[in-house]
Amino acid sequence: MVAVQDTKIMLRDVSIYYSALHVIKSVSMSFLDKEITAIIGPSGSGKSTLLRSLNRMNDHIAGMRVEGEANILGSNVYAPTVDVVALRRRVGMVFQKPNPFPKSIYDNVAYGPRLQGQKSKVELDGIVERSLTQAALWHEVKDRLHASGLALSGGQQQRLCIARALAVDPEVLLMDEPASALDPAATAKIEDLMLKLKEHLAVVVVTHNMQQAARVSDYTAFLLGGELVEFDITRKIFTAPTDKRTDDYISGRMG
Amino acid sequence: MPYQQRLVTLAGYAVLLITALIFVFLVQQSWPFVREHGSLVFFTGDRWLPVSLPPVFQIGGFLVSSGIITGVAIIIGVPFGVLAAISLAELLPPGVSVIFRSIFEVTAGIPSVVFGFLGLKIVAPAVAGLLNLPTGLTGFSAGLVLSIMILPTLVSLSEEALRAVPREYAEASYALGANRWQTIWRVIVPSARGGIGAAVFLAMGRAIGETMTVLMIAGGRLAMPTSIFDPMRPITALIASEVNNAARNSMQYHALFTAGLILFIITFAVNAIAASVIVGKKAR
Amino acid sequence: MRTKYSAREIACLLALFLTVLPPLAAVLYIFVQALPGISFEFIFSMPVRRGIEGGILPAIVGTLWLMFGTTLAVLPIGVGAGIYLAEFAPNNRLTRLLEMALVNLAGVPSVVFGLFGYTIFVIMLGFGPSILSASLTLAALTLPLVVTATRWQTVSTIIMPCARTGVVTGTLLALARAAGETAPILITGAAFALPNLPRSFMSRFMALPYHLYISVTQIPAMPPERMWATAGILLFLVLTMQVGATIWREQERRKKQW
Repeated sequence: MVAVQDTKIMLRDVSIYYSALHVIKSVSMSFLDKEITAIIGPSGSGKSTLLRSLNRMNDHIAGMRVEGEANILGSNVYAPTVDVVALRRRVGMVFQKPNPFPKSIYDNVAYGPRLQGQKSKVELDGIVERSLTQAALWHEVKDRLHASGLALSGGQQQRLCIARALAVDPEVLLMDEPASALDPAATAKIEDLMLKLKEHLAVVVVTHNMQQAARVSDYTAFLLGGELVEFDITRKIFTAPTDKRTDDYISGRMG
Repeated sequence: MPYQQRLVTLAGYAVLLITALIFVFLVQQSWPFVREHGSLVFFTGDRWLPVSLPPVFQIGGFLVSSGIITGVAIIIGVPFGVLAAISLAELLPPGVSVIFRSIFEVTAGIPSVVFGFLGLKIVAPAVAGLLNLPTGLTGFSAGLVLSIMILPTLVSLSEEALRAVPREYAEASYALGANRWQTIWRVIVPSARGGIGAAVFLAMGRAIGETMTVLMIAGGRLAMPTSIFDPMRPITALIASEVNNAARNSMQYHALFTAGLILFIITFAVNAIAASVIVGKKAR
Repeated sequence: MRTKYSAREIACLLALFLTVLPPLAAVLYIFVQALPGISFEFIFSMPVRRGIEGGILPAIVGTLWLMFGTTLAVLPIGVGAGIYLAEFAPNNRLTRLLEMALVNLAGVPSVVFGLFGYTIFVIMLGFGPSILSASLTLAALTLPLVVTATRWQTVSTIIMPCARTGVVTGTLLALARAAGETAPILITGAAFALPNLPRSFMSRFMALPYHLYISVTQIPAMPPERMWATAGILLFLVLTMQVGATIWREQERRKKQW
C-alpha cells in the first residue's frame, strides 16, 4: 500500500464523453510522486484523451463531458470551483510535436514565470538557468539565450519545451509521446532526462513505443478502447501480464 | 500547348504588361519636366506656382501633407483594426465573426467620393467645432476619415494573419497556465507580427493613394503644413485638382505626371514590402 | 464553450463595434437623408440649370454604361489571368514577378490610373474623352479584383464550373468599383450636367460619383437634398453589388463544405 501523500493523482471511475462518444470508460488508477507512469495502447485507445484530461486541456472541445472523480493534487479537478489556471501551473505538459514559441530561448523559458507576474531580471535569469539545466540544455544554449527557440534542432526544441514546463515548478509533468517526432539519439536524451526529472516530480508519459515504456517507466497502464485493461509495475506488465489482451499487445499481435 | 492555355497565358502576361505600361507612360510623360527642372528642390521646396514667370514646381509640401494624413489614418486605424481582428479571429464564435466580416466586405465598397461628401458635411464641421479651429477642412479630418476607410483592409488581413498562427502555440500557452487573453496577447499576436505588419503596409499604401476623400476634406492649401490641424493638399489631391486645367504638354502638365510618378513609386515601394511578406509566406 | 469575457476582451469587442459602427451609420444616414430628394423626376429626367433643377438620368445611365464597358473589357483578361495563375503558372521567377505586379497593380492610386488612361486611351489611341477611354481605364483598375477572385475559386481538373463562382464575385466587385470610382474618370471623359444621354462608347458622359463631386465642391447653389439623393442612389447601386458579391461567395463557400 502506497502512502496517500505520495499519490499525486487519483482517478476513480473516470469516464469521458465527446458528445455521444464514450472515449474513456470508467478508469480508476493513481499516479505516484517521483515515479514515471507510462500509458500505452494502440491508436484511438484514448491515451491522449486521458492524459489531457489531467490538466483539463480537453475543456475547449465542444460536447466534452467528464464523469467520476479525478483527484489531482488533493482536489477534484472537475469540480466547478477549480481554478484551471492554477491547476495547469502545478501540472505541466509537454506535447508530441515540439512547439516552442517563435520567441527567444530565454523568453520561451521565462514565459510561465512572467505569466505569474515575475518581473525581476535576476530572478528570471536564475529560473531560466535552473530550468534549462534541469532539461539538460543549458550547456548547449547558454551562449545564445536570445536566439530564436525555433533555430534549435528538433531534440533541443523538445528539451526547451520541457525546460519551459519546468520553469513554473510543476508537481506533475504530463508528456504526450514526447519523443515520437525525434530521431533515436534525441529520443535517448529525452529518456535520460525523464529518469532525472522523476527525482523531483511525478511524470506521466503517453507512448506508442513499448520499448520506451519498458526502459523508463516504473508503472505501466495499458489502455484499449478507452478501457483500462491492466495497470501494474512495468516489469510485471512486460514479463507476466495477467490479461491476455495485454500480452497480445506487448508481444506485437495487436495494433 | 492547347489554344485555351495559350490564351490564359497571354492574359497573365497582360497583367504584367499593364503594370509595366503604367510605369513606362508615367516616366515618358514626366521626362520633359525632369530633364528641364529635375533637381532636389522639387522634393524639398513647398512653392507651387504653375503660372508665374518663370513657373515654380516643388512638391515638398504635398509630400509632407500625404505623410501627415497617412500617419493620422494609420495611428488611429491600426489599434482599432488589430483589436477588431483579434475579436473576429479569437473571441467571437465563427457564426458571429462571419456577420462582421461580411459587414466589412460590403462597406469596403463605399465609394471614396461618398466618404468625402460625408467628411465635408459631418466630420469637418465636427472637428472644427470640437477643436475650435477656423476650418474643419484639415489634414487631421482627412486622416480621420481615411482611418475608417482603411479598416476593412487592416481587419481582414490581420485576421488572416492571426488565424494562420499554429494552434500548437496557443496550446502550449494554455498548458503553462495562461488564460485566453494572455495567450492572445503574449503568443498569438506576436506570432502574427509579420502578417499584421503586411496589413499595415497595405493599408498605408491605400491611404497614400486615396484621392477623392482628401481632395474634398483636407483643405487644399498649397503651403507646407506646420500642424496636422492645418488645411493641406496631399499629392493625390494636387494631381486630381489640376490635371484638368493644365494645358496638355505644358510644363505644369509634365510636372503633374512627375508628381504621379513619385506617387506611383512610393505606393509601389510600400506595397512591395507588404507583398514580399505575403508572397514569401505562400512560397513556404 | 466558454463565452465569458474578461475586461480586456470586452475592450477588444468594443473596438470591433466602434470599427463597424461608422460605415454602417454612414450608410444608414445617407439613405435617410437621400429619401426626400428622390423622386420619379429626379431619376428619370435631364438636368436643368447645371443640375440645380431637373434630374440626373444621364449620370445614372452614364454610370451604367461605364459598368457595362468596364466588365466587357476586364472579364476576358481578368478571368484568363486568374485561371493562368491558378492552373498553369510555373513556379518560377516570372510567375513571382507576375504576383508582385498583381499586388502592386491593386495598390496603384486611382488618380494614377487616371493619368495612365488619359495618356494611352484618350491621347495615344485617340479614343478622346469618352466612355470607351474611361471604361478601359476602370478595367485596368479593377483587373486585380477579377484576377484574385477567379484564381481562389479555380480548382484543378474541372476549371470552368468552379471558376464561375470567382468570376461572379469578381464581376460584381468590378461593377461596384466601376460605379463608385471618381478619380480615374475625372480626366478620361466625365462631364457635368450634359443635356442628353450618351449615344455610343465614344460619347462624353455624366457619372454619379463625378456628379456628386462637382455638385458638392463647385455648385454652391446646389440644394443639399439633391446631393444626398445623388449620394444615396450611388451608394445603393454600389452596395447592391457588394452585398451580392458577399452573399454569393458565402453561399458557394457553404456548398463546398458539404
